[in-house]
Amino acid sequence: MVHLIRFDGDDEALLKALKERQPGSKRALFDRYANHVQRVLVRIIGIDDAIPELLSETFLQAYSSMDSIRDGSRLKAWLSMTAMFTARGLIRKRKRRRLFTLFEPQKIQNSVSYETNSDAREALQVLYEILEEMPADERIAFTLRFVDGMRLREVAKVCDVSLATIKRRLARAQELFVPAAKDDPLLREWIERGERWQTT
Amino acid sequence: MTTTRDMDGLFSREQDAIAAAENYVDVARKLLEDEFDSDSITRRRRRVPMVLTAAVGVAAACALFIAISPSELSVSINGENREIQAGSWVSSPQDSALQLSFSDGSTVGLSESSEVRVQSLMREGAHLLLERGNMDVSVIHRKETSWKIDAGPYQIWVTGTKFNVRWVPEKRSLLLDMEEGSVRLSGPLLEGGKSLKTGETLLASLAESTVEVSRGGDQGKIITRWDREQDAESEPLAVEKPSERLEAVADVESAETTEASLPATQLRSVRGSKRARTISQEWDDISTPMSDSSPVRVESYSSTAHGVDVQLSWKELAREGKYHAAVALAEDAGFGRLIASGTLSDLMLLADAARLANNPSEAHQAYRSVRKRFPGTRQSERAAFALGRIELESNGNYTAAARWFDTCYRENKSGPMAREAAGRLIEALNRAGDERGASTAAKEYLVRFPHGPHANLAKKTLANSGMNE
Repeated sequence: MVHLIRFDGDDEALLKALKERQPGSKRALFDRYANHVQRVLVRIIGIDDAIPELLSETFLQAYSSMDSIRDGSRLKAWLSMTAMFTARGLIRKRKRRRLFTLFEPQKIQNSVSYETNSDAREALQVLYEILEEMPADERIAFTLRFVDGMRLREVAKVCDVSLATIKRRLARAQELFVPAAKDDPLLREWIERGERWQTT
Repeated sequence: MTTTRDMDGLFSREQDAIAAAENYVDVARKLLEDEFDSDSITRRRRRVPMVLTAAVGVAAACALFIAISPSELSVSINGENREIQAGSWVSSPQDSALQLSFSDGSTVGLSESSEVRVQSLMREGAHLLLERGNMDVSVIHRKETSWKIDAGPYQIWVTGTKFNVRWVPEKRSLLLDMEEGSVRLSGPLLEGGKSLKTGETLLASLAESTVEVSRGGDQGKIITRWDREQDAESEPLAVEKPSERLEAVADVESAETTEASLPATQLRSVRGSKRARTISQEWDDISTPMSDSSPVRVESYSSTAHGVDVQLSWKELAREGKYHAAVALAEDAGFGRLIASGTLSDLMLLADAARLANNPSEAHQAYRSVRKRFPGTRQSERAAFALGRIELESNGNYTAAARWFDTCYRENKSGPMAREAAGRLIEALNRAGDERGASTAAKEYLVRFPHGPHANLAKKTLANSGMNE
């Protein structure tokens, strides 16, 4: 049994196919960029049960606003931005929800499905616990720069702000993050030794 | 030990491995199936229940679109020419195999119930994704040959070789058996990449975070075994070229007869030490042979690559991640004196170094000293958690582990360790056989952290006790 799936050429051809509503074009966009979008979402939110829904939401948003893109070469960057806005929406919604709960605030979790934990995994949980207390914009800038390793200009593009704004957000994020992280040895080592911290 | 370069990518790699294993993309694809077949591009908000599954769905057939460039390889299946293109998905029936034959003479045998996707076809080779099952790959070597096989989150680069690769998504495990030639792999647990050559077999398990490489027809003879947790805790040296770690295996073989006589709890440390000796010639590590009861010690430490000399203090070594060396020097300086009179930060540094050097006894002493000398501090909370881990993972004393996790949790229910401590408490109580205690802890966990990483464990605990609500 062979299942044949449409192949849509480069991004220009794919964009054209999407605008023309050609069959298979939406699937092709997903197949091509799902991993990338997932990566952006996971960096911002962390490992979370909501990631699949965020992923599908991002692509739904992308499908509905395809007409606003003129240049196929911007497809990937535009998807990154859409993912960022989708993630930011969830962060803000959860923060608002926490204001009205009677119990301890439900943190944006790292839904690790494994029972065993390495030091890195524990540090990752602590990392995102700290990030949860950070304002959404600073958190997003921080995760894209320091966890993902995006260059500053790329972070600025994804966040749809100027380079100067991103630098300000990163500076604020570092001020919030570093004191809170110093108790964890792996986070401390990351801050002290990671090259990305030296170039911001 | 992680180098500066590794530290930068440490967390993103961890996330990527978890995300791949959780199959987020596949779940999202299922959520979007209806949208894929819709001709109208309209935005709909979807509220569907989350279903996490490791199985890949079957794609519906669509119209062909692009003609194959004459410079691309062409493919036949079982001798019949089919229009296989980039994006084609091939699955074999339950009761028979398929053979894909490429125009360059290469072949890919797909075993029963296996699925492969043709990612791209080029003049120099093909890029295939093994979505599940077993493939026998035979790539004809030419000067410009360049093939790539993806299996789950793993990537295999091929220039001319024969091998068998198997990916089981439900178990998140990869088996790669080299018949001829060599390949290069990358993926989770293979930081820096890994080369395999004729006669070698690699087994990687994401679920267990282990990688094993064996040699020759003797499948039981492990020439090197790498465990992610063990590696993070017992690796004594900075690894400049981690790919060399698994390549220089000759010395490790000779260690096996010695290792066979050692207690299992010591075995990991030995392997860590032995591996250190096989690493790049830049490093000059002298290890004493292990006794039956003592942990691995590094008697002296030097590294020309980083200009480290033996005059470094234990603190400096610990901050550089050279935990074994740090603990050894601290012992020389008087471990008991240090834990009795050191500052809080020094004490935590020493305790963490001992724990990461796989020295639970000294780590335990140091953490206890933190608790006694600096109660009520954030470090004291963390020490309680660390003590719980030591009792659980190193000492097998589950009752004591439960006490420590409970202490950590109750001392600061809104602290950064609270959720993890609450989850580990359930685990420790289960292992200690305290069903009632575990159920109570599970109930509280689900109230406070309904989507936490131990939520599944909590639900299972309640289900087992018949208290599921």
